[in-house]
Amino acid sequence: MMIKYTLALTGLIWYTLVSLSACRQHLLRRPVPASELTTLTVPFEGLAFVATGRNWKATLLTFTQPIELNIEYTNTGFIVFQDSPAGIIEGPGKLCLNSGNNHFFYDAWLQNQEFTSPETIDIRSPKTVNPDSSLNQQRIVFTIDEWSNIVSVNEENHLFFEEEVFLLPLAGVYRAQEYNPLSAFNVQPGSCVSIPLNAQFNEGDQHILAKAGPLKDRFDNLVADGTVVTFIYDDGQYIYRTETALINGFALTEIPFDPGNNYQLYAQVHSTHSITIQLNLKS
Amino acid sequence: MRILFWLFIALFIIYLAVLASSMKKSVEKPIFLRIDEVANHHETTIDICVNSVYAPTPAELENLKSDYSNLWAHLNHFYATNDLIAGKEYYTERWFKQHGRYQTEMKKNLVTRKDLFHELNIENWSRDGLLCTAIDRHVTIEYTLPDQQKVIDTMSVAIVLLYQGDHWRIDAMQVLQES
Repeated sequence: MMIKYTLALTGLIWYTLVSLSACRQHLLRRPVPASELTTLTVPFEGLAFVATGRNWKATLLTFTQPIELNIEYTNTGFIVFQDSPAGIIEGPGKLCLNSGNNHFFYDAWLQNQEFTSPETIDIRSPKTVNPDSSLNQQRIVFTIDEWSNIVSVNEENHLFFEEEVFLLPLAGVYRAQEYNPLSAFNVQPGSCVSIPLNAQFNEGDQHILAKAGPLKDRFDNLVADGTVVTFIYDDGQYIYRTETALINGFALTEIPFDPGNNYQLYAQVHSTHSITIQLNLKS
Repeated sequence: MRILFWLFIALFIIYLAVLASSMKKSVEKPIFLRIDEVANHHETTIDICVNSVYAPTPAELENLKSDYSNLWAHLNHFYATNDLIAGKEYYTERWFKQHGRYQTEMKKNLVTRKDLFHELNIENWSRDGLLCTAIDRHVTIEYTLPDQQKVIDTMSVAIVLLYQGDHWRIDAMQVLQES
């Protein structure tokens, strides 16, 4: 009987002690920041708190991600500091201090220390322009800092800027931003507007060398390499057709020549035709 | 001689077996075979207003809406767990690199959040459909604190989205500080 009472009493004491210790945990006071915490500049070197206890953990909840912070205890409480010098997405955040089941939150606007060099992003659309259709290009500009925050693009505090630009009709590859290869865009040459054509008889191998070119678009750009030029000629009996690719503005083809026949030759690119030339020994 | 030959063959087979077993198997499935649990369990309301010079087609808008919802699912997951990898399909390389600087071991955060409402105002839409800038007004976010207390916050967020791969991805953001 005595043993039973002793056991019950021990249990009661143990339960009371555990309850008291739990109550003690709940009674932890909210740490008091040494300075006001409405705005917090990241990375910060040290935030002092007046607090009791030695089992604190600190987390900074930025708008996008939680960042673990370090704690150094002092005589009056602790100092919270950040290891990494990196910045964050600016915005509303919470500094969370917790010890056991005690959680304390401090709402603050989080901002970065001065960023070094904001980057202007200049996006062009379309990336390839052909003067046959339009030389207009859409330009969208925005500026971001090195931590992916959008920064005002102009003094009016606009975040985005858009305009329609009219490109020079000079074929080539250009860059919207000189040092950014990703900003490259192309101005292609357009279709040819006329086809100069001439032919020369080569007595040695009894062939006629026909040459079309230089083929240029309406802005004087050489038409793109690989454009198919069709040479069409007839000897009075049959019509022959030969295709060749344009290189550096010129297309060449050889036509077998029978001195007894008269030939008519012209060149064609899509719907553009050259003049028709007569090929015979006299000419 | 024959024994030496078979011994050599056996050694070669053992070498191949050891080589094969030491090779690391890729456990990551290709994107089209993966099931995005985080995005699948997410629900929100997104109203879209088009203020841009070039307007997206209805199909493009539907795609944007779906990707934007998935993006917020992953942003919430990231906020709660610091798990950057799960949402990598919705982040551009720049965003991923930036946020990777604070990568620590993944753990459940004390605070979780849900996005309840968005009013996505498209400010610029590129002609090729690869860039979208927008201001998301009245973003309503519900935070759940460790004591299950819920706090609702409303704000406006400027956002730059780039269409890369199969998704719209977040490239940059600014939470607008409103008076």
